Amino acid sequence: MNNGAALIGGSHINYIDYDREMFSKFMTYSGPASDMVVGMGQHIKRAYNLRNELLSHRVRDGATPVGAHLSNTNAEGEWAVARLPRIEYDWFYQSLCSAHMEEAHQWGPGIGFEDDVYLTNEEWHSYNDEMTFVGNTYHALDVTTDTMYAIGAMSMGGFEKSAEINAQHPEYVMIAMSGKSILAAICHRREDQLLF
Amino acid sequence: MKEPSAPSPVAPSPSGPSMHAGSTTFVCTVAGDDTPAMPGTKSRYCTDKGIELTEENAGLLSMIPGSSEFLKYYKLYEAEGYTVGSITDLVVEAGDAAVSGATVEDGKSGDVAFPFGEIKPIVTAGERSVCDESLGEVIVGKPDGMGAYLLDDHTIRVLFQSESYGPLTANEA
Repeated sequence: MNNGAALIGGSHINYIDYDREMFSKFMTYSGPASDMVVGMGQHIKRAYNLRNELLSHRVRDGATPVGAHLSNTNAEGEWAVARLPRIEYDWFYQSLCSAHMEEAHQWGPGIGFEDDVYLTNEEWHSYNDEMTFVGNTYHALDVTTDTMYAIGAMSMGGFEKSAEINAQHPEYVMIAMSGKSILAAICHRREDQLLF
Repeated sequence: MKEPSAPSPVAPSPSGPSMHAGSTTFVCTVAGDDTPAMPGTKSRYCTDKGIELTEENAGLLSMIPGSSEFLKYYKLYEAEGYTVGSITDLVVEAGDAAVSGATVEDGKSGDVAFPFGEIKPIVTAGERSVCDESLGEVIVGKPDGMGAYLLDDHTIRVLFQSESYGPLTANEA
């Protein structure tokens, strides 16, 4: 990712490309879906953190001052997750959830997002009890540029789902957030296994 | 649309009545084009080119320390062969097998008597890519949310995320 500047584990976003004409008739086709696959790969090529910095390599023995994935760290960029990766990646997207597409200007000319975006949210986490943390991160993937943006840290309050709603105004974009119960929100921090 | 010269006969889905059960054949063509989309233009599709391991090469390989592991996994690769979209059995079920009496068997569909229509898989976790841009990559995790859009006039792109947990579970991805 980021031309090799960071190696990311955890949740992936994949794409699979299908032949359009075959896809349109797939339910009456006797063969498997593999017959119509024309491409497959990772959708995220570039990724930014909450500070709008490109994700970079993790400093293994201290804070990463620039380019840390802040859902994995405290505000200073020190690793805050309960466990370290067992394989050598820098950061990980934790349990992306409730993902969906929002089309550009879906509410009318000039109203809504300017680009087609795929929204998703890190839904739970498990942090080191001795550390402070930034919190689970909310993400928007610009599917045209393959760029993932961290756009908020909301889900420590239990918010895992989002949907764009009609702002009825070209200068505003509105997103409704909803999610798990207050109990689940508490569970996110220390008892994440309860969520499953 | 003109019929292509090499039509591909297709039977109705074997898994139950189809909305198009009266149609015993169809041919796939690229919109606005007379060229058969499948089969006929194989270069557009991701196909398993396999790994050619001749007896001679295997003999040479066996002299390299650690190569037994490679050969072991090569045999697994040959035996398994699941490429993206190739699995036709379903993970989803129409009901609880304990109630419906459906036969439960690893890798096989269970109760598929879905009340409102058929379901066919377009991708299943564990399948591997045979596409040039991602050769060998495996579909992992538990997809939680899809999107789809037209990549171009002839291609639908489906995207999904894997809901994987990094170091927070035993099966790290």
